[in-house]
Amino acid sequence: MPIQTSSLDKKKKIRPDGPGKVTGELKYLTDLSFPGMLYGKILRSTEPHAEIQSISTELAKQLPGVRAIVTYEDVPGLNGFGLIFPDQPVLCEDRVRYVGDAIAAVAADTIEIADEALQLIQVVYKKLPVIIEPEKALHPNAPKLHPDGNLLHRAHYSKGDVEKGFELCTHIVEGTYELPRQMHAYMETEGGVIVPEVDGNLTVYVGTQHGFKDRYQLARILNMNESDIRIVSSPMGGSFGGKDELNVQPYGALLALATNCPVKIHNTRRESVRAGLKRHPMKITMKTGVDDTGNIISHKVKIVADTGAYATLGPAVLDFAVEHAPGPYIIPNIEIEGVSVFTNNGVAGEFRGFGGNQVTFALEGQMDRLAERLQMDPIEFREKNLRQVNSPGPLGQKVAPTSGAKDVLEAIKQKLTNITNENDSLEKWKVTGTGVAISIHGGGLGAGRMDPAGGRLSFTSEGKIEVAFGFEECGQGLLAVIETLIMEEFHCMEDDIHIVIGDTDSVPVSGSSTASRATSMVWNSIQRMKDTFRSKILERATKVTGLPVEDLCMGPNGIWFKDDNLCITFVELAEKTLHEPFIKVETSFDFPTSPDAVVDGSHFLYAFSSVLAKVEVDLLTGKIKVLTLDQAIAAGPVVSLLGYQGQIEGGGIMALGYSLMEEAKMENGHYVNDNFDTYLIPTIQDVPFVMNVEAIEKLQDGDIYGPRGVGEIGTIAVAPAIVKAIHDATGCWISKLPVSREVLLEHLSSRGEKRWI
Amino acid sequence: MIRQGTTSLIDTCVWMPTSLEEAWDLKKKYGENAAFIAGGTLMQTHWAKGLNCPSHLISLDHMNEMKGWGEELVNGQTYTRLGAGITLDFCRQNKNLFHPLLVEAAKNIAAPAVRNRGTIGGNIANGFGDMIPALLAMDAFLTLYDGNSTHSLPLSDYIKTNNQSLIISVLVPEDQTKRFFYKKLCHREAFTPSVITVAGSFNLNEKRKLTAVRLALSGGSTHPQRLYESEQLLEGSTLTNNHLQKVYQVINEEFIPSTDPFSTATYKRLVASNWVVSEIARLAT
Repeated sequence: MPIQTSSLDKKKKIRPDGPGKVTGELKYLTDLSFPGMLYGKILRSTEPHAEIQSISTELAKQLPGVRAIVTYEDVPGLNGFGLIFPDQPVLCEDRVRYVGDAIAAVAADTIEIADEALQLIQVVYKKLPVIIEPEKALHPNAPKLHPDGNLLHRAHYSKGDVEKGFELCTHIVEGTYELPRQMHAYMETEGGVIVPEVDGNLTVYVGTQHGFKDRYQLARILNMNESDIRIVSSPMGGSFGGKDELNVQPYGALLALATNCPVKIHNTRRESVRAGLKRHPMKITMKTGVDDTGNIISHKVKIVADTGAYATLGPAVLDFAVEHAPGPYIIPNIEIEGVSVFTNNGVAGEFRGFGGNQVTFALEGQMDRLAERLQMDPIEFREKNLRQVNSPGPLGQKVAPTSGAKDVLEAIKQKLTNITNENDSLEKWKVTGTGVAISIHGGGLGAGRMDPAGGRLSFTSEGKIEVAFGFEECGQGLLAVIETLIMEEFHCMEDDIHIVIGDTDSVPVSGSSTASRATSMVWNSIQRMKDTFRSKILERATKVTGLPVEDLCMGPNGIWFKDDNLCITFVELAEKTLHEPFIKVETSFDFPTSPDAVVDGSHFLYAFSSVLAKVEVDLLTGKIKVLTLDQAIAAGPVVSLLGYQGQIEGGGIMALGYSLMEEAKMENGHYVNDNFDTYLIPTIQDVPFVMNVEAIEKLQDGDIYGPRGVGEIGTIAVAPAIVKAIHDATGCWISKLPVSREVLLEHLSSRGEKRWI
Repeated sequence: MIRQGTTSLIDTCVWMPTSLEEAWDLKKKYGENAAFIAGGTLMQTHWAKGLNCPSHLISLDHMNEMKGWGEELVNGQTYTRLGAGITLDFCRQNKNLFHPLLVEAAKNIAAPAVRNRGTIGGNIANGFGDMIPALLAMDAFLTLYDGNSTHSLPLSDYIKTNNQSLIISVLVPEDQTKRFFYKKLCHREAFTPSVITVAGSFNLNEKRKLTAVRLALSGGSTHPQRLYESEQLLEGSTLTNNHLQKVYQVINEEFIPSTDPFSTATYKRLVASNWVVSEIARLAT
């Protein structure tokens, strides 16, 4: 079912929250202030691994202006949190496992006093051995970080017989790929205000990607009813997966309850770096074999993920990496084994791409190395092994038929023909190269996981079409998606719409604003509600105007008669039917999943991307400049053109940073770069001047699932394309990100003396 | 202890002296508890990292001696005088006033907000600024005030000691005949400290021999250095591949960069040698 698209212009409209953000008028939750508001600060561990021998808050309590100090003794409910299982203490009692572990929280009249109070809290630690390498954590003699040991999760998939398969291969490539710890680097650090209400309820104004989940977790910690907690979770100044898990909420809530005052906590960048989640560092070993004509016969994968001190979404990230290890290729013999391991290195968790970025870097690296071994064009080699429309999913499960893989590869092939004709660098010590990579990326939480969706349409007493979703606007452009879809469906104007999101007291359950699912679920919800809603409105208009319902339609500002005459405005309609029951249409359903998936978390709906990168390598320094970054995306119809482009370009730049400069280094459990002066993300000067995004909107006949989300797909295949481009330019294969100029320069220098003149 | 936005920063006294003597006396009076401050762009990053903000800041903003620019004749040689208080952005924007090497150096420092406040004097005084190699390559002098008198000192000598004098101005010989280069490597394209900065200059005489060779290097964590031995090796030479290869090796041995968490000294030496030799080859042939 193709989406009913309106003109391109409509899709290109300015996002509703754009002017407020550009002018600075829009208030984020961290901008809020309330009368009598206190400021909260959290004392975090100075040790990456230690026993806590004592915590003394006496001195700090005596500091004038300090209103409350809470420790583990003050947690009324469960002293733990975690999206999958609550193994992270809210406030540590006897042990710390990373430098972000919270030990106490202070509420005071000013930030400065709260800060000073932190200095006065005395914690006596007994240092324990710090585990920084997953491999060592798995050693039987390693100290156990958790009661069940240091293995958080193991995920496995196999089909055929890889060893027998390798015997049939003429070429086998084996490589280990190392991926860094990346920081989300959202502009707005974690924070907000927690307000105790007069009726004993609690309102939490803190950004998150799933308000209802925060409510659930907080109720468990505070020993409160979920219905007594209201989460206002939108808007956010960026999240990228990093704010899905609880961050400052429990501390703000405990302090608000202890003082009966609103408490604001807003992490500084250093606090955010220290406590916040990161992308999983992974070490991925792949052994892949082909026959002499280039058919992939066997593919053996071992993934070791460093999940840090606590679980959060670590198991799901690993599952995702395992699922995507075969990529969009058809391979008869596969064996994938993944482990996610506890260490004392920060906490790794959800991050845009969700394990797909890491495994795709390894897989596409294998593809390019195999193509070289076969002396075959890398695109032709991919084409030869590519999934077809009706192929099963990567783990053999039934998936929605799609030609996405073929389409994106075809599209990038066209772009490649254009680019190779361009003049290469004229500078003596610079060389250029191009690289292509592709990816497949599942949407939704996957099989075997609660993944409810839903929405609500109502007609308000003010004459507005109210659209409500339990999603959050974290900068991704959700509001524009909702507005565009409603305008398209009901042909109304911006002014006719009232959007309600990010407030557990007034939104329906829609599931999380994660996993590239929000756009897709908004579209699906509207499809389910639109006809009922429209006919209810039109029936009411008939009642009021006396005009035949078949001659009426919804349009700009109201109900139109025979398409050319506004016969009653929405406002008039509301005014004249105030006594009538509210028009309200709701839907709830689950994100579509594969009917026969054998591995938890595997997907049914996939998006695809291809990337063409052109780079310039400086032979004197090893410096790499990305000159072009083109992407072709197959994710169904475009909903919001600028939002789509923004996601792909923005995702591309985030991945450029991942490829070339971003690494949250840790030394013995401590972050080396604790601020953006040393943790470098790309500036506009690092962004290629040309970035083309091609949207392939095609869906298979009978596909009822509509647009797939594009929140993550733009980040997936960028790194392998850049690394292939570097190889094309220099002949040097890179297996570790971010690309080390030193390694590259060493490789280049090993070619002997230069001809200087 | 100062952290972002804490009370102690609010408690800091900012003094606005109007003469060198007054500024010096304030520093003497408050000693370790006081620091001179010009643009403050670097000091601010130190405080954000948790370093102490001194309880007295002595602003140099009202120091007339440190303002403006002009020509000066010293011992028959014409110099451009740059007041220490000239901002990096002013330098960047005025190609007609200042030597292209200085403009190039200023252009590559930090980001607009920093260049708008940061001064040439501060860039030199902090010991790691990227103006330093450019100025070393041009044989610049500094005019300094040490509490008693004003005197001048070659920058190449200034960097060798922990000189606590106030920098009043920078004197740059006006020399349009020299060939020069300036290159800076960072971990990204903008707004980040230098991994390594190299600057050099030389004359090429009618016999195509190099004279008055100056080579200067520095980096965000590497002290500025002149490569005297390498300069010597190039002085009076005509360029051949073999000779340049020798120069390459000498630079690699002579340059002593630091290793930091993000780059090794080995890498910095390699880049330095590559850059100096390739730039000389480019400019001399």
